[in-house]
Formats: sequence, structure tokens, C-alpha cells
Amino acid sequence: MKPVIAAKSFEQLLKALHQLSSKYLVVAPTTEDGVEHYRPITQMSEEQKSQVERLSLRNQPPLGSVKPFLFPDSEIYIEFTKKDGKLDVQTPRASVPQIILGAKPCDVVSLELIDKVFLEDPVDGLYQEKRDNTVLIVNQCDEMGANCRCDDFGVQRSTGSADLLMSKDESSGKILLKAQSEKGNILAEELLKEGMEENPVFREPKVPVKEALESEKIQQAMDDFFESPFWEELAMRCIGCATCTFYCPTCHCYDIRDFQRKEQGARYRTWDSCMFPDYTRMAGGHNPRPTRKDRVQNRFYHKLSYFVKNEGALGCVGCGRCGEKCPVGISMDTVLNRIGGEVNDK
Amino acid sequence: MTNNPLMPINAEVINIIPESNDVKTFQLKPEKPLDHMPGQCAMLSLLGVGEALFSITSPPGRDYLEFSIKRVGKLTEVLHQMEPGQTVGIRGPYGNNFPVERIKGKKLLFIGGGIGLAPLRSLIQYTLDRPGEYPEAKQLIYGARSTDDLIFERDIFNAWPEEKNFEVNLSVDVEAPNWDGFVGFVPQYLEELSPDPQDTVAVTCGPPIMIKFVLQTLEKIGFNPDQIVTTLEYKMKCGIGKCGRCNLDEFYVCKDGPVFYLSDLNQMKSDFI
Ligand SMILES: Cc1cc2nc3c(=O)[nH]c(=O)nc-3n(C[C@H](O)[C@H](O)[C@H](O)COP(=O)(O)OP(=O)(O)OC[C@H]3O[C@@H](n4cnc5c(N)ncnc54)[C@H](O)[C@@H]3O)c2cc1C
Ligand code: SF4
Ligand code: SF4
Ligand code: FES
Repeated sequence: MKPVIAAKSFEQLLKALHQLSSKYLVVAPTTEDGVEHYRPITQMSEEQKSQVERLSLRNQPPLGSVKPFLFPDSEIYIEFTKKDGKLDVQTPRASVPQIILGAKPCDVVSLELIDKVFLEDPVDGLYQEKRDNTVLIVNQCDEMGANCRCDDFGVQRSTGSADLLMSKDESSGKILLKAQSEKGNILAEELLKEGMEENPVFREPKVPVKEALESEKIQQAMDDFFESPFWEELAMRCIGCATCTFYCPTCHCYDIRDFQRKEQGARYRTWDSCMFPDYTRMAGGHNPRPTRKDRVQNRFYHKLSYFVKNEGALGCVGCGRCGEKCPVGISMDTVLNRIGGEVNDK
Repeated sequence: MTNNPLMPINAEVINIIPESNDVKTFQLKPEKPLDHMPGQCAMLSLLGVGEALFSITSPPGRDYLEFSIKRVGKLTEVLHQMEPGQTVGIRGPYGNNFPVERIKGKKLLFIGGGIGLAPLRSLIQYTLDRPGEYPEAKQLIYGARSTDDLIFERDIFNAWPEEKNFEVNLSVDVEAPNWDGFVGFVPQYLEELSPDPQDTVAVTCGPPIMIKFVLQTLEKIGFNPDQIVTTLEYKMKCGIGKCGRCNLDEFYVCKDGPVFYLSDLNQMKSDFI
């Protein structure tokens, strides 16, 4: 049997995690200037801490995903000083163990999709190190949030690489944790020492599991839809702001840049977006994706066709963030409804 | 130590050969050897300046790697100011290579433009080094903007025309004194020469606009798409299929390319040039 432990209240759980913060960086969802993000609990105000329970147990992911803690928006991997013609190179120190509290099944699966890219040979060590160092405490939703499409993408209740599952027993108010990995077991042991108790049962989520879209069917429908005038129409709406890609938990594109001021400098990678024309424009001006239509198409084909062909899965978890934040209301549904429509018409 | 595939190793610049106004060939000796095949590339970098991908223009089996680099921007500008004895960062080799097996026993037609001769040179030298495997006739059609922009002069004017069974045809875009070669664009010269497609494979590399018209001309003079090999130059950052930017449909040019048969490119949904 998987060990289940319980905290008397969410507050007790947070306290216990606080006790571990010399060993782990503990991050949890809160709001910052009205926007939901994961943040280190040691840096939260009391007001921010009071948001954590609601956001951790809510049936909807926070706007900011867990991705930046594994694949930071900007990450230095070489630091150097150049002094009197002498170059001195350092690699930044290794990442610290971290606990992510209140991750959602969609975010867990989004990491599994990024794993397929970054952990495939040649392994991206910068990502792998953080992945190995991260303990995910996951709350499965009891119902679907307003913008969620996790049912279609088959990730409701998905807990594959979660280390601990978390739920609240409504009658007693207890917070239950069930370990399901070695890292989860270790953390459970540590939390027991911090005053949590063993518990006989775990409360399973109530959400009904619906049949997911078939990835090959979507991929085929997308491929059949390539020449449709729909893509021109969509490109007329899209303003190319790249918001969709920056909020997306499965987007993994990056740029590599150098920085130097006086004697100090660094080489770092930073998130990039296929929605920007510069992303593919070469020195000399040639661009293989010169129009917005090419770029809009590339984004949707990458998620719904190319990723299926290369990695055997749809590259979207249906979290709904892109649609929620797109200033012109373009979402995954915008495309799925259309290709579905065309397929059914046949 | 984190295993980071983006981490370059050091290479010493052992020699620099000026090729033209804005192209120099750099002979590098990496601290650990990189085994490459013709057509493959490597990332060269200078800390604080940047990183870019370049074709390895020397054939395999030399104890150095050669890169012919055109001065076009930030990194290449600084590279051009370097001197032997200094070091650069290098990682690779990346990408697939020219189909050295599939072209065995075929007549070979190389078509290059400008700096695009760099990757072809590795293949040309590779086939010349192995006359037993590549005994059939070879032809190079190579053009540049002006006589000064022709690179690898010692090869194109001296070494290669001396080889038996190797015809070298040169062109420049604009008329120049003492130039008795062709004047015009490479695709026009190709059409004028109209090499026989029978048992021949054409391999081309050059600026996108040249490639576009060379491919059209090759088909016009009777080459089938499965007799045409081309390289694609896309913007690249990681070189290992992860940063996402160089995709053409589901393929990453850095990993699955840069060498493609036209018959495969014709299957792509997206425009490849
Ligand atoms: C597969 C592959 C193989 C390659 N092989 C080679 C090679 O063997 N040799 C080689 O020299 N390059 C090669 N390149 C191209 C090389 O990677 C780029 O030229 C490189 O980005 C230059 O870096 P930079 O920092 O100097 O220029 P950047 O600072 O990135 O570019 C600076 C600016 O210069 C101008 N500029 C750049 N190129 C041109 C041009 N052709 N005409 C007019 N203006 C221009 C533009 O305004 C551009 O924005 C290859 C690229 C690929 C993808
Ligand atoms: S494409 Fe949109 S819905 Fe899908 S994972 Fe990315 S942000 Fe979420
Ligand atoms: S958020 Fe909307 S408008 Fe902005 S790039 Fe994405 S699809 Fe286009
Ligand atoms: S250069 Fe990064 S995927 Fe090709």
C-alpha cells in the first residue's frame, strides 16, 4: 500500500513545509499584482500565503505554470570574466532541491511532454538536473475549470510523474498526501517528522474521466486541413504578440544569447517564440516563415501534428491558458472545432 | 558537473587563410577531436560575442577542421580579427551528412554559389580521396558575385582542374577584366551547360534564391527529384533539435538536415525556401 499521510489543516501542511525550507526551495501558487503564479513560500507576504490553499486546491491551474521552475525563462549556463586578456570561465552552481506545492495534472503532463524533447538524447542536463531535483505535490481537480480542456487531451486525473498526490477531506478539513515515487516517500517521511500523521485512506478525485481525442486522428485531420483558407483568416486576427506561447506549459523553444559588460559576461538561454518573425529570420534577411500565416500555422501544427509524429502525443494539455490570455480570443478550440467540423462534414 | 550539450569546448586557431574580401578559412584544432562527415556543421562561438553554425569544409580524416567564414555580422566580424594561437568555442558536429553511400558509382554534379561551396568542398575532397568508390565523371559549376568573391582559389583554379575526370566550370555575376569564364547567374550557366542527367546525382548549396532557381533548372534539364540533393540553411541556435526554431514540418533542419533529397522536400507541406 502507498503510504498516506495527513495534516490537520492546510495551515499545518504549510508550516511543515516551511520547516523544510532550509533543505528545499518550496514554491506554491499565489497572486502577485492580481496575477496567479508559483512563488517561493518564504518570500510570500501573509496576504499571499492566505491565497495558497484556495489556489492549490482549486479546479483550475494558476495562470503561470510550473514550467519556469524547471525551464527558467532566462538561464545562465556560462559566466566569465575577461581581464587583461585572460579569460576566466565558471559554470553556475547546481540547482537546489525544490518542492512544487499544488501543481495540477495538466502541468504534470506538460512536463512529461517537455521530457520527451529535453530528456531525449542528447539529454539537456540543465533541465534534467532540475527535474530530478523537483518534488511535485499534485492536486487532482474534482471538476473542470471554465477554460479547461484536459478531458479532450486525456490528462484529467493524470498523475504519472507526480511525487505526491494531495486532496482535502472536506468533512475533517484534513489535507491528505499520498506518496507515489521515491522522492515522494522521502518527503512524506520528512513531513511525518514535522508533525503530520499517517492516515488510513486517501480521497480520490470526483471528476468523471471522459474519452480523450485520438492523437493520430487529430494529426490526420490537421494534415488534411493544411491548405484551408481558414489559416489566412486566423492570421488576420492574430496580432503576433506571442502571449500564447509564453503562457503555454508545453512550449519549449529558446534562444541562446551572450551578454558582456566591461569585464563580466554570460551566455544564457531564454524563452523564445515561433510567433515572432525574427525567430526564423536569418542573417541576410531570408526567412523560411515570412508571413503571420506561416507562423500561426506552425504553432498549431507543431502542437497538433508534428509533435504527434515525433513524440507520439499531442503537444497540448488543454490547460486553456493560451485562449484565456490571447487578446483576440484565439484558443485551441478555435482550431479543434474547425478541423473537427471539416472532418464531420465529410 | 551538469551534462550540458550547449557547452562548447576549446579549439585553437592554427591557421587562417584569406579567401576573398570577406571570407577567411580557419583551421581549428579542438581539444577533443570531432569526427564528422561531409555536410555536417559545428557551432563556433566567442564568449560575450555569440555563437553561429558553420559547415565543416575540410574532409574527414584531417587532424584539423576547416571553416570558411563570411564576414556578415557580429560574431563573424570578430572571428575575422582573430590570429593563429587564439581559441574559439566549438560544439558539434551537428546534422546529417551528404549521402556518401547512395551516390557511390554515380556521376556527380556539384553546383555551388558563393560561400555555399564550403560544405560541397568537404564532399568533393571526400570523393576525390576515394577514386575507387567514386570513379565516375565529376563536374563543378561554381559561381560568385565577382572574381574577388570566388573562394578556394587554389582548389578551383589549380588542384581540381588537374584531377582527371573532373570538369570545373566557373562563373561570375558581372563582367571583369581578364575573366574568360561565364558571366551571369549560376542557374543560367547550369542551363547553358545542361549536363546529362543519366546516372548522375546533382548536389547543390548556395544562397536560398540560387538554390530555388537551380532546383527549377535541374528539373527542366531532366533531373528527377531523387537525383537532386540540396542543403538548407535555416536560422539555428541549439543545433540539436530542442530549441525549436529550425523546423520544416516535423523535421528539424539542424538534426534531420541540413542535407535533403528534393524528392523528400517535395513531400513537405510547408515551403522549404
Ligand atoms: C547549416 C548552415 C551552414 C552554414 N555554413 C556557413 C559557412 O560554412 N560559412 C559561413 O560563412 N556561414 C555559414 N552559415 C551562416 C552563418 O551561420 C551566419 O552567417 C551567421 O549567423 C553569421 O553570424 P554573425 O553573428 O556574424 O551575423 P549576425 O550578427 O547574426 O548578422 C548580422 C547582420 O548582417 C547582415 N547580413 C548577414 N548576412 C548577410 C548577407 N548574406 N547579405 C547581406 N547582409 C547580411 C544582416 O543585416 C544581419 O542581420 C551557415 C548557416 C547554416 C544554418
Ligand atoms: S497550447 Fe494552450 S491549452 Fe494547450 S497546453 Fe499550451 S497554453 Fe495550454
Ligand atoms: S496570443 Fe493570440 S494574438 Fe497573440 S500571438 Fe498568440 S494567437 Fe496571436
Ligand atoms: S537549431 Fe534548435 S532545433 Fe534546430
